[in-house]
Amino acid sequence: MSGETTQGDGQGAGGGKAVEQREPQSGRGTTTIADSVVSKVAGIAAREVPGVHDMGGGAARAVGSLTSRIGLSEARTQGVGVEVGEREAAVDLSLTIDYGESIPQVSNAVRDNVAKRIEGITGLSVTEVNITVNDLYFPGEETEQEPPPPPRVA
Amino acid sequence: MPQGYSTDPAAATVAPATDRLRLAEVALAAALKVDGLVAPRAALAGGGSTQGSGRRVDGVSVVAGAEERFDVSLHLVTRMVPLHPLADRVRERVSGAAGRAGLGDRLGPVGVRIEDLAETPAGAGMLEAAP
Repeated sequence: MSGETTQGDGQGAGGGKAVEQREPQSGRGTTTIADSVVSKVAGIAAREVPGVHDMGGGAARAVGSLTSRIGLSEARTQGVGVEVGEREAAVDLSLTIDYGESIPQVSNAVRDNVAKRIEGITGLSVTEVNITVNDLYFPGEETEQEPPPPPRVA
Repeated sequence: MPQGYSTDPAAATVAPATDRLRLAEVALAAALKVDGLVAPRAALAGGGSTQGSGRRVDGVSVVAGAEERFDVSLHLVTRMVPLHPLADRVRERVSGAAGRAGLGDRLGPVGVRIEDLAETPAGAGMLEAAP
């Protein structure tokens, strides 16, 4: 069922806009997908690709780790920017890639997977996936994180 | 004490649900039976709610529309599945359930708003998109 797509003005879960797909033929109602949903699909799809270690730059990862731990942000959308139009979406991704992997190959695989997932799940056509490789990950470079405190109640 | 006022809890009556509230309850219950749906999203969390008769139904807003029908808007959290087919299944379920509840002639357009996606377990990956 193909539909006309218009920009919604509602506030999504992440406080963003949403794209609204109308079905003028049936008149039975509209389907609206929050922008944050498109961001989350893009973030998860990028992380599915082998060679992608993390999303976002160093500072974004540090801040994102803190804010997601206290529930202020969504880790799955870290390093993801989306622009959602009437029928199309453009995605900007910021990646950290494992040292030794081919950056062009990983980038192309990310592009393909993100476009496939967004088109499959949301029905939006992906016009571009722009990738910035912010950092390389070397095994063992991460700092030891403190283990979470034991639960205080059984 | 004003005449007619009773402190007896047993004497308290619950106002009967209006068609609007019944429609909200029926629509939400039907929608949540669709495979791929996880939860409604309440107004306080950026979704919608319907209140009346001392009750509140989170995740659905029902407002009077044209021709004595009610416009229904469902605010939902789903799994990673193709969303438009999912929304179509939700509409079908809601339409069927409203008809069985005797509210078919009050049901207007059913809007489906995907507010968020539920997390998939680590390593589980996403569900394959339907062709």
